[in-house]
Parts: sequence; structure tokens; C-alpha cells
Amino acid sequence: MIHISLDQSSDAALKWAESFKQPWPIMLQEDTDQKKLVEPYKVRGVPAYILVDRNGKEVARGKAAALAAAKKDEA
Amino acid sequence: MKKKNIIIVIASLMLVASGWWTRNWTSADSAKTFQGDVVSLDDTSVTVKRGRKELPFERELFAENDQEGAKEEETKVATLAAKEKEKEKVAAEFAKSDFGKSLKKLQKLEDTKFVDHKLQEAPKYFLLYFSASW
Repeated sequence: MIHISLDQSSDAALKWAESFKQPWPIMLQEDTDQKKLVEPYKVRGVPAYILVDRNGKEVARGKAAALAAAKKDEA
Repeated sequence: MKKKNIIIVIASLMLVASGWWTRNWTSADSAKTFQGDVVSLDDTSVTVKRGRKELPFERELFAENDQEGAKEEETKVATLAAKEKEKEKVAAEFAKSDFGKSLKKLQKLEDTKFVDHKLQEAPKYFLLYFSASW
């Protein structure tokens, strides 16, 4: 899982990540290329879960659908 | 060390770590047996660790069953090495892709700060989790 932070400041993202000892990698907003990593996925609200393949192509959207798609492929 | 050799060593270490390589070895004439861990092998020989000593043997000195076992282990090493090589290839291709480049500046929480994080592999799927603290 990759966390794409939409927080305006990295301090806010850090505080939030610390609050639950976030184990997965994060892209801070200042390092995120919005045109490549945010806009193509048309995120309308947070939190949002989108499963993509290694080319960045959307496979499933929404937590349940994303996890189900990933599990289905594993089987 | 060449990349191919590194992959084979990694694959060998993975097998050794898994404990698959310990076996009872029997001489071709069935007169002697001993237990030892395979350290390495090639087409004609096998190096076995007994206690602290690493001893090289010609494969033909062992019973047929052990020679077959060595062949099977060799196949496992080759398969693991091929898988590792494929993973490396996929990861290299991913790093060059647009999507891979867009994830180049990943960070990871370590204690109380974010530190640079590099993906070691390119999994088939990524779960992107968009979120904000507000």
C-alpha cells in the first residue's frame, strides 16, 4: 500500500502518520506529481482506495473492491 | 562478483536458510554415512559443511540417491535464481516507467520522522490510499 498524502504540510502528515505508527510508504504532497499521481485517478474525497497495476492503470476503486480484486488475483 | 553469481548466491542462501539442504550423505559403496549441510554445488562437485569444516566432494563419490538429491537441489537453486532475476528485471523496468518515476520520492515513518524509502520490488498491484489528516 502506498499512502498518497493530500495534507498541505509534511508536519501534518507526520503527526497523522505517527498517531498510528503508519507502516507503509507515503508520498508527501510536496513530492507528489499531481498530474501523474492524483489527477488521473479523479479522487473526489478522502479516504480513497484505488488498486492499480504496476503501470498505474486502475484495476478497482473503493476499499472493498480493491481488496477483493487483489485477493481474486492471488487465488 | 558478476550479477548472475550474486543471484545464485542469494538463491543458495535462501535455500540454506530454509534448512532444505541438510541431509544424510552416504558413500557410493554404502560404507560411510554422515550428516552435513550443502554449502555449494556445481555440475560435478558438492561442498558439504560438517561441523565447522567445509569439505568439497566429487558428486560421484556419493550414493546414487544423494547424487539425485544434489541434482534436485541444483534445480531448486536454478529456479530460485531465475525468479530473483525476473524480479530484478521487473523492478528495473518499473523504475523506468512513468508510474515508477512518480513514486520515486517515497518516504517512510521511522521513529518520529520520515526518511527516504526505495521500493525493493515492483509488486503486480499497488493499493493507493489517498488521505489527509483534515
